[in-house]
Amino acid sequence: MSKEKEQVYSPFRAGVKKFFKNPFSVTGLVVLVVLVLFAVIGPMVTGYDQETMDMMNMLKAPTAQHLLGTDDLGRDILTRLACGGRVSISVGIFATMFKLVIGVLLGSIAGLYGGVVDSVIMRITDIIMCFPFFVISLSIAAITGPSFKNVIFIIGILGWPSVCRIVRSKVLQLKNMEYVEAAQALGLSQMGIIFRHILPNAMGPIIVFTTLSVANSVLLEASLSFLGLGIARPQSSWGTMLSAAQNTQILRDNWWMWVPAGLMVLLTVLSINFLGDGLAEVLDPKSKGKEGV
Amino acid sequence: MAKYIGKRLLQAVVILFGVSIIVFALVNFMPGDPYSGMYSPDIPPEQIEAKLQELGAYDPLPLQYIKWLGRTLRGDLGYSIWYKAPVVTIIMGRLGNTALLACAAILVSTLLGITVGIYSARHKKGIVDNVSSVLAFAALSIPSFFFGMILIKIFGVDLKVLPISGMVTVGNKSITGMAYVVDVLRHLILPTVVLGLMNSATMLRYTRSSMLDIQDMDYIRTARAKGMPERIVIYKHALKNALSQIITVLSLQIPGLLSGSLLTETVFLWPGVGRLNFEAVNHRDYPLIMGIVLILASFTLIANLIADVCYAAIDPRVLQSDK
Amino acid sequence: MENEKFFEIKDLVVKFGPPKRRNAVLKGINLSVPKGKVLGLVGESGCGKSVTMLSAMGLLPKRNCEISGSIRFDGQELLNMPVKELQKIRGKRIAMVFQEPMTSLNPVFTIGQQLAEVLEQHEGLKGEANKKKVLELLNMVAIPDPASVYDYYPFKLSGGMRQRVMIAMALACDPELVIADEPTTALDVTTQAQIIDLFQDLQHKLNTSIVFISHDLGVIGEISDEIAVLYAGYVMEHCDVTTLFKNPCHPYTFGLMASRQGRSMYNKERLYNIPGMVPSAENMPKGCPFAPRCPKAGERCRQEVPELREIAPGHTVRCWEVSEHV
Repeated sequence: MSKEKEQVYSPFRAGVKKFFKNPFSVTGLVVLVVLVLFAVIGPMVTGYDQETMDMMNMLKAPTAQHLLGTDDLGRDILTRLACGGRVSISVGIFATMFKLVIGVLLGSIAGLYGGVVDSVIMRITDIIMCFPFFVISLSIAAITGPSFKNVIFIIGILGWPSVCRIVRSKVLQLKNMEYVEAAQALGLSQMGIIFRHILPNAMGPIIVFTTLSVANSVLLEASLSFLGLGIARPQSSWGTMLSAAQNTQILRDNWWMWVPAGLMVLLTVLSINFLGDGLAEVLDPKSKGKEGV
Repeated sequence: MAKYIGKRLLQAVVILFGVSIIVFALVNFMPGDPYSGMYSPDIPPEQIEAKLQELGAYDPLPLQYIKWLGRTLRGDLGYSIWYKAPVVTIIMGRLGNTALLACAAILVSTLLGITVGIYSARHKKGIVDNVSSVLAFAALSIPSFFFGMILIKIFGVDLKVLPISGMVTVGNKSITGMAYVVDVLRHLILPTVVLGLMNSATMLRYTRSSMLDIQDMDYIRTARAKGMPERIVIYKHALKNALSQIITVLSLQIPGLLSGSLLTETVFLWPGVGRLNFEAVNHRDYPLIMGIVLILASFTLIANLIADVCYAAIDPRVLQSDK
Repeated sequence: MENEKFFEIKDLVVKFGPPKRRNAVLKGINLSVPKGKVLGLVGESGCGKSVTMLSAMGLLPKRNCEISGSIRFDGQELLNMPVKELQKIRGKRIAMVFQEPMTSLNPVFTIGQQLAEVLEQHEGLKGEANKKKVLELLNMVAIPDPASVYDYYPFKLSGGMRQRVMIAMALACDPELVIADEPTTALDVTTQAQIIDLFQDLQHKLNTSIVFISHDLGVIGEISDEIAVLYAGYVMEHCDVTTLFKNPCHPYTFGLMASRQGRSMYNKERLYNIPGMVPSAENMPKGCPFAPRCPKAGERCRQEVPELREIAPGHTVRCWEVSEHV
């Protein structure tokens, strides 16, 4: 019985190996990196500014000069696409951070303290999750008006309940492990226990949630901006670029004005989803296919 | 079982309470005078003051809430500023259209998602499985309105085979009976494709993952050892165990359909509640907006309640662990 | 031969694994079950006892699994039989009871529904007639209050009770052969004894042939008429029960007996156990798989796999040292 064949890997290295074996997650990672690079350095490379209007070259189809053509004000679409990417992706990231701060905190508290505190927090999540997203977000947006900050706020405030539940369920699971009892016996404060012992072990599902939340938030921002309730002028995002297609003429004749933006959203969200799925396989196998239950 | 339902109903009432408080708060946050939308525009000016008294405009906030809650429970959700008619009437008028679209979408997504999900689980890593996995991801990643617009461009504008907007062909007010049904169905196709395909992706993933777990279970092997034909093993023994997962998905899809269909309805100009919501936002028709929020939130709650009851009916262990 | 060989396995080879790393779990099983009698299949975990009988039922996974050889039942070849034909035999002529009663019953159907299903499928029984037969079956396996249990879901029953239900399900259509795969292993000792009594009782009443699989020689000895000892995918010895216990020939069988008796045949102070471990499927030694642990192993043993030879009427052994010196 020879054991020389099997090298022992630390869980981290084993996880990394497994991740890179999955063709989808690797593709997702690569595509995402390319897209982020495009958004970040694209505008500096194209040679155009996103606001420069060129009245002589309005609504031109893609040419060598303007790789994705120009819009109705003669602005270069490729540049606008990259700049819009910056906005869309940052909304995704900030909204997710918003959700994480509130959700992880409340989820840990609910899980650790239990009892009335838990019930109250759970009822609040139930209530928020009762409102269909677009219905309530439109209503809030109608009151607050469209803006970069407001979009982040809306997506965040409506989205924290999911991660709250995930964290709470993980905390409940881990609460009964011996090392928590040991920490309590050593006199560690409750918050200390949360941060130093429980959360590190709950990182798996949290990381998976983070990736999927960024993807979802990008999608939601695009939708809200499309409806005119997301990013406001003068900023533009992929969603606002898509809203140009509400004009039937543009929809029909000027595909370059809206199709690339839509494809960008699709590619970004898709690659993040592949990435997230690969991460889930490694970090949190039980959650696959069961998100939201 | 009765105890279980009772418990769930109680929880639902508590949640509904919370929902009403949030809606009430939003109503009061809205720009302008919240009470302007609560009485009929037909009331002569002399009676307005008395009406306001009745509505509670001069009462302290908690009393205002109670009076508002009372009116809401009696079906009085105020008056639409734009349409100058009771909110409830307007919403009810459009609800049927959204329901039609939602039903069609659920039909498509369930049939497609479940059958492909079962097949993928049985032939794991086969061609169908791999292709459908990628397509499912794509369906989940594409903005619904973008998908809709692409379909409109291809089928409605370039190929001109399908209508691109509305529920009936404009100008055809006189057609009735079968011709009317066909017209509606033709208009139903594209929006249903969008909603149905996107929702079938979720259904497929859950079904597949569920069936994968189940088909390796001992009791499936027992069913085969008993000599049961394969289709009974899969569609009766395995599927029933997967049902609770599937119902979860369905109950998650209903609020999604009510809300996500807002985008689809807007793109296809489908005269449903979603589009009504969007128009109301554009018109700053606050009473209407709030009415829609309240009604749709309640529907979601009811859908979840029904789902919970279904779980208990399917899986007897749920009642056990609930005690 | 007075008892027809109504169930016979010849040269059964079963390999598992992806095409590049396929290992043989069964390397050449030869067995037969006499009609109306009990054949005990004994061996350590991993020797292939379950796999042997699962292949007879066609219940091995389709992917990454290679089967060759012959399994004949009442004149029909079971291996490679089309599934539709096999389904007519499963549950009706050959039935199986599995090891894990806790997970072998479908949790979302009642006991009554699961039993009724078999009867309806194979015997065409419906309605009242079906229910009557189910209650009879529950009675037969000594389940108290069958009328109530009919409507119970599996989670309401204990392990012993569920196993009785499994036995009832196996016997529902009066099968000619029952395969019991470690039916008592997952149960506590008292329940074990009850289940074994139940098996013996039923076997006498119904005259069914049984293949009883276990790693416990004591259990096997109590219930079997004939015993086959398996090791690392081979049948090492096969004879009737009395001979096996009185005169075990194969060194492995000898070792098993010795460990059972709780004291060493060689050393009266220490509990005997066979030194070493069962080789894994990837690391099979050349020659006789037991040779590394065998006190009697000779040079030929380490080079060549011994043949299964009859050393006395009805007694076969796979061992060079034994069969050469008969």
